[in-house]
Amino acid sequence: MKKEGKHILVVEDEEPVRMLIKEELEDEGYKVSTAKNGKEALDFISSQDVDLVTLDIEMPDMNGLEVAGKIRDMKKPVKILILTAYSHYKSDLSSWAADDYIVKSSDMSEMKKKVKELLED
Amino acid sequence: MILTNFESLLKIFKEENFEERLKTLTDLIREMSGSNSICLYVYEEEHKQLRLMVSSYDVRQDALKIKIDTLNSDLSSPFVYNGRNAIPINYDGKVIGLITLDPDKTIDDRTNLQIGTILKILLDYEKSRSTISKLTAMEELDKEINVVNTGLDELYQKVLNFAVKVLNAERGTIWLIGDKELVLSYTSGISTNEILKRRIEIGYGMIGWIAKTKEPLLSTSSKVDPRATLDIFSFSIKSAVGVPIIRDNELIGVMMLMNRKNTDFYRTYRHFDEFDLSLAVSIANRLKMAITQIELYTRLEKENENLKELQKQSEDYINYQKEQVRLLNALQKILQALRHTQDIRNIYKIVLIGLTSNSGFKFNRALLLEKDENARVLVAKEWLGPASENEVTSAWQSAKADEEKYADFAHYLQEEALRIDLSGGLTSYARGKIFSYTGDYIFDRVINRSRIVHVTPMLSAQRGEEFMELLNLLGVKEFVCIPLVGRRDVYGAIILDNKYTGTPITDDMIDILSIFSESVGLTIESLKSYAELVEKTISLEKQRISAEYFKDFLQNILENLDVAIMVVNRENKILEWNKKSEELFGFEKSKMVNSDTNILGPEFADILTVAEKVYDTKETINLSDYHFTFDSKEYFLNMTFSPLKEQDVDVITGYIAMFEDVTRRHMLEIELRNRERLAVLGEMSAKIAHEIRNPLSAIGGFAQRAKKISNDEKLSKYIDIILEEAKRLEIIVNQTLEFSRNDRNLNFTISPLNQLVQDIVDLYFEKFQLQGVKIEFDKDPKDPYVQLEPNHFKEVIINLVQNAFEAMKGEGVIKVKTYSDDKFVYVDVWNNGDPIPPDKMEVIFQPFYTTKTYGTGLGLAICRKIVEDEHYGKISVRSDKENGTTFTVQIPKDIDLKEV
Repeated sequence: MKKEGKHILVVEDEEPVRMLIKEELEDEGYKVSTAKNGKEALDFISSQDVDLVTLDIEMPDMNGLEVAGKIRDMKKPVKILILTAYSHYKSDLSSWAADDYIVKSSDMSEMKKKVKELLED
Repeated sequence: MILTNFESLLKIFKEENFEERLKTLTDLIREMSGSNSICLYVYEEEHKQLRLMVSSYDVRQDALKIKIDTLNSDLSSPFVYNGRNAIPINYDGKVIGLITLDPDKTIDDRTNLQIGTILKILLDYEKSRSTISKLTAMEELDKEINVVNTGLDELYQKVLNFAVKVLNAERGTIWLIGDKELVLSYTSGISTNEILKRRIEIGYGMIGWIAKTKEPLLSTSSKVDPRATLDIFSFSIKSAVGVPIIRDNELIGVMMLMNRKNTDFYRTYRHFDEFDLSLAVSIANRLKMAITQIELYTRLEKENENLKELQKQSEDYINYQKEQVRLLNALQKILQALRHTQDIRNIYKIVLIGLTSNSGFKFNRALLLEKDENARVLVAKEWLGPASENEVTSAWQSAKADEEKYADFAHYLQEEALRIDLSGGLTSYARGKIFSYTGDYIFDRVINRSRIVHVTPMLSAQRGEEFMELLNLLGVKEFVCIPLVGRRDVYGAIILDNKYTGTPITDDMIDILSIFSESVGLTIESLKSYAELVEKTISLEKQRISAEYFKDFLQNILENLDVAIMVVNRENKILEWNKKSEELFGFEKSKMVNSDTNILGPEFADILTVAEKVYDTKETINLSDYHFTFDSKEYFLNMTFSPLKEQDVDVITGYIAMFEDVTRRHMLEIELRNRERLAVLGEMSAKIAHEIRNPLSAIGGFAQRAKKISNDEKLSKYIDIILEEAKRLEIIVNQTLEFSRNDRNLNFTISPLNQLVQDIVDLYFEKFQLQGVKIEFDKDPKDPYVQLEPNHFKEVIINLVQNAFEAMKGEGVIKVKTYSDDKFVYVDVWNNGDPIPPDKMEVIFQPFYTTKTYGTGLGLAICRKIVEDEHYGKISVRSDKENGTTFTVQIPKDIDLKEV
């Protein structure tokens, strides 16, 4: 499995959480970039190749789900993992663009497992 | 020449009759003797004479019969008679005849013997023929007597005639036993003037002798018969045969035949003989038998007649009964029709139609006379019936046809009364006719004495001039006049007759008419009174804004109010208790009204205390949402107590208590408030939880990372504490979100209840066992399948089982039980830990309520949400020291119930 080549964009408005996810994923050996909001994220993805995006949903300017939709519009081979505080978004997922979702938790192992699965597909 | 040779005998017997046969015999004798002339005499023993039978010349008149005592010979040998040779003819030593020949001629002894034989044969043969003829005739008797349709008179006469004929009697009589005498009853061949006596005593003469001795009698010569009495008939009786007619040893009469006629058959005597007597006896026997038969037949006929009569009588009676019933029914119908009529003119019409119609009383005509009170007269008003003979058929036919259009006679009467116009027709003959009823022979009785008067043809004939005017108008001899009698007055009269059919008016009809008269009179009376009454009532009604009416009105309002009302007076007596009160409190009005208020029981004591305050305050007291427990049910009531004041007086005589049951509304309000609170709570919780989750993730995440790089043991221990607390916070956040979420993605499936519960029991079995707690599962044997959201349902059971475990604080048993009934499945989770205090029973289901140090307070709230909101079931708890604590989940089996 080649982790080094994989580029992950972490989109999260709250800095501590953004930093935590970045560090956790970097520990796993991924190349990790970050974005503070949806706009930044979209700009970044349009200019660079990204393998996976982790998206927070509750963000001030643009809802994570909306961002996911726009990413899909770019027709780039990007996996999208939603990170949410609300468990009930699960039911909306099927109609949206995300590949999977995970409820935020202090325990990062679940997230890392999901990321790994998505990148292996 | 031999006389007795075959040729001679043949010649003789070939002849037709006795005389010819004698003539032929005489011719043969003459030839043999060679005499030119010859006479043949036959000896008649009874009369001691010789009768000339045949002569070849004209014999002198005095020589036709020769009395033997006038002869100078004893007839033992030939002698000379009137110059002729007379030769006696003998048979068996007795003289039976005599031949006279020319004086020089004679016959020898042998020929004489032959002649004797032949003559005897001829005489006997004649007698035999006579007998045979009579016997043959007897056979005719049975044909003569036809028992059927023959009266006794006819029988006697026929038999008498027959006997006279057969016995060749000149005359015959039958005497019947009358009152101890014999009465001449039938005669044959006797003219009236020949009868001297018609009645004779028993024992008188021959006839009387027969009656007395009951023996038959043969008299050959009444001259020598001592029994003969010759003063009965004017003719002389030379010979007679008499027989008694006896039946059952009782003499009923005597048949007497007198004087025998000369007949075809010659015999040497003229009188009746024994054979005739035997014939007469035989005829009398037949007569007796025939009488018996006829009497029997007559009796049978009579019986039959009686039976027929009886049958007819009973039929008549049945018909009579039927007719009576029919008439009573008709009367009933007429009265029925009258009851539905308010117009007096129509009343009269109905009456007239009813009396004349075919289904009614069938009178030919009915004339109505109305009483004019002032003039004291009767005025002819209407007359119903055919106006003349010519109209009868058509009028009755069309009336009958009209009548048959209606199934109900009463209905017909009503309709017909409206339709019919009685101003023309028969009425025109009578209209305006006036009859004074004071002192009138008929109307005085009818009007002043309320009597029915039946004028019969006889009465018309005897007293007709007293009511000539009426008779002239009616033109009949029989009619009936009935009064229309009310209780107070007589209103008029009706005259009925059968002018065209002539049907007599019977007493039974009069009886029914008397009922009719009264019933109709009463109806007319009530109608007349009704009109007055209506007028009076209307004015009364107008005057009245009556207390009664007003009270009823108020009562109605009271009864129909949706508020329970109780009115109580100063003496604490209940005056009013309306329908709603009955419904709300379950006390019947009949029990409550006039009872003391303490009948309401101790539960009402507080209410009554409040109510009685109106006596002091004199103002209405309102209490809303008053919590009231009655008959172990909880109510919320809005109550109003108003002082009851007398009209226009400032005295309080009691109070009016109104109770409005607002329990339902109150409950709904509480429920709504709860739900609103929960909804706000849920929303807030979700927001807070979300806001907490991000920093919490960061705290937990970085603590994790710090732990990895920490070498300091103490630091690591602190980091662990941070991690633990973060975890706990996360659970709270998760549950809060769980509770407040609105899950639209429930996955209901038909699930096996036992299996779902078993999975959970299995899950915890080992874990609990390690802690010294046993979990037991009692499965529903019916193994029900229920429509459920399996994951949520499991979550409920897990919650309950965990709660139970936590309540145990050490060793013990948890019992899980599933069961079901028609409508629901149940899961009980039981533990014997400390009971839940009663005041906490409800709050434990509310969010964030917990007794546990490490609980979120959301477990049971979530359970309730799942059971009640998602499955439309119910979750409840029972708890006390003796029985432990049981949580029961109840879920409806029927999916339809969930839709409610």
